[in-house]
Amino acid sequence: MKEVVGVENKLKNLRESMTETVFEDVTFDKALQRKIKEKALQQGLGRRKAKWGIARKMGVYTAAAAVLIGLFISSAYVSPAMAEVASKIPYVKLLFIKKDVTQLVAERLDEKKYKYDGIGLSYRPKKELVIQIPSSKEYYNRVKADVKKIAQDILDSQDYDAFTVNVMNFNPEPVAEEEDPKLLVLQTQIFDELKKQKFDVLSLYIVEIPDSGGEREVQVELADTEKRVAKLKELINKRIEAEQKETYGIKLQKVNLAKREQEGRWGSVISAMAQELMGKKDFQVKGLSYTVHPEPKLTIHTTVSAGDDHAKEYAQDLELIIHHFVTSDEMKEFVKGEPYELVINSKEKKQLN
Amino acid sequence: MLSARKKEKVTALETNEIDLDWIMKEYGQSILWLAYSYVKDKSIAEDITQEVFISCYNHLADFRGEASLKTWLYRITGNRCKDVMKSWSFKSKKITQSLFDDHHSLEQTPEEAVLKRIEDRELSLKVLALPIKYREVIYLHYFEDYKIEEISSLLGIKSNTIKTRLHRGRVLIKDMYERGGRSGK
Repeated sequence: MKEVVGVENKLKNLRESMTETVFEDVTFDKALQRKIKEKALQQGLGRRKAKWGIARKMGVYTAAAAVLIGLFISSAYVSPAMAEVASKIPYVKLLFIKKDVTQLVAERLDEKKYKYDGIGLSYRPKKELVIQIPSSKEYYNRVKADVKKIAQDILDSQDYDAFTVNVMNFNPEPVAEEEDPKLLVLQTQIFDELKKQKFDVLSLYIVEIPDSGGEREVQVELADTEKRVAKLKELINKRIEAEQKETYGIKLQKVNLAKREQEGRWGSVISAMAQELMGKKDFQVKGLSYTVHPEPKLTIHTTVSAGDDHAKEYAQDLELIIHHFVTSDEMKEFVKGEPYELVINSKEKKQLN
Repeated sequence: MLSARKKEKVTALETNEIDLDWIMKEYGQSILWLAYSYVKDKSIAEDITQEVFISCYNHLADFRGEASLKTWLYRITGNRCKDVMKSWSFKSKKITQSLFDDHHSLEQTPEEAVLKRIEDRELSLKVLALPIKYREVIYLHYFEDYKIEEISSLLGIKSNTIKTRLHRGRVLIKDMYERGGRSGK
């Protein structure tokens, strides 16, 4: 028995023993590696895609605002006024880091000097890459085929087989000159003055209250850390009275800056995923949503049925891919190590993961 | 952060073109050594390694990630080695070689002047001299650090059998030491 124990002890170092002796010149060297690679290429393996499951490489794209905050894009090209508001929010700029599909299309259209009003990815009611061509019907008819081809080629090059191209002729109604130019100037002046006095305001608008017969109010967004509310209102009223000889109601919107900043960051994460997850049929994703209240939570809406044989496996795979993506180096600056919840829903809205 | 094992699976899940370079870098050496522990011939081991990688690429569709990628590859390697060893060409090659083996192994090469090296070599040769069914469990357990349950799952053999074979393997090695040579089989 004692001898066997001795053997056991020797065996504990078996790896070292063998590596240094009998395995010494049995090396998996570059020559062998090359040989195997050549054989693989010979068999056409290097060029073929060994596809399995829902294997797809996740491109790290941060899509345009269109994708991210769905409410912005779909309203951005419907209402030019909203588009203007969107650009005032600083974190939206974060998104335009890498080229996305809409940007690629825009560049190509610019090259060919085609006119376009808006390019966006739409998910509701169907997945479409929408391009709005302004001006005359005659111009639209002349260019639409080529524009469509350009867009389709770009989608194909990214393997986004879930999107179709929709080239529309869109002529927006001229925006009725609601805003009194004087008011716009006043608006800016008041905002600047508040900032100068170090009030923590984010935006200020003088707007007409709908269906009120022309009544106006001042809408102000301020950081929830700004406590000098009374003084703020006083200042605004003073300036307005001086100019307009009347006072307006003041509506204050408190904003948790930290939460807003967090919302922006996580929005970028979602948007980076969205283009890929939605663009490729294999993922079977019909929508994404997120919230940071109370804490970050990402929800993936899929077309997979809860009763499917592979539903659970699918959800696990998808979860892994998303976790991997969220914890990747490229997403670090957006995620900042914050924990998050991930919910994957079946088409019946049941949680799969 | 994902554990190393999950990362492996994720990478495998994400690539729709298997990165042959990556997989060879990760597992090439281990597979070559594993094959060698079976066939004890460098060029045959190299051929088997090549076959394993090509086969892995072809059959990736079958791999659903139930076990780790490594275990899947090892299983393929072990099976291929055993197939090769059953073949006539292998058997005849081995007989011719064994005449040289004995001679070579008893020689003390200059590099092995160090006592430890001599002992290491002795142990290694004894392990390699074991009959396959004991050799593979000893190798997987002591060289590759696989636990009994993992070996059981890899080879598709009951845990108790694995334990018995490990024990028997150790006894055989002990016998070899006592007899002052190798079992020669």
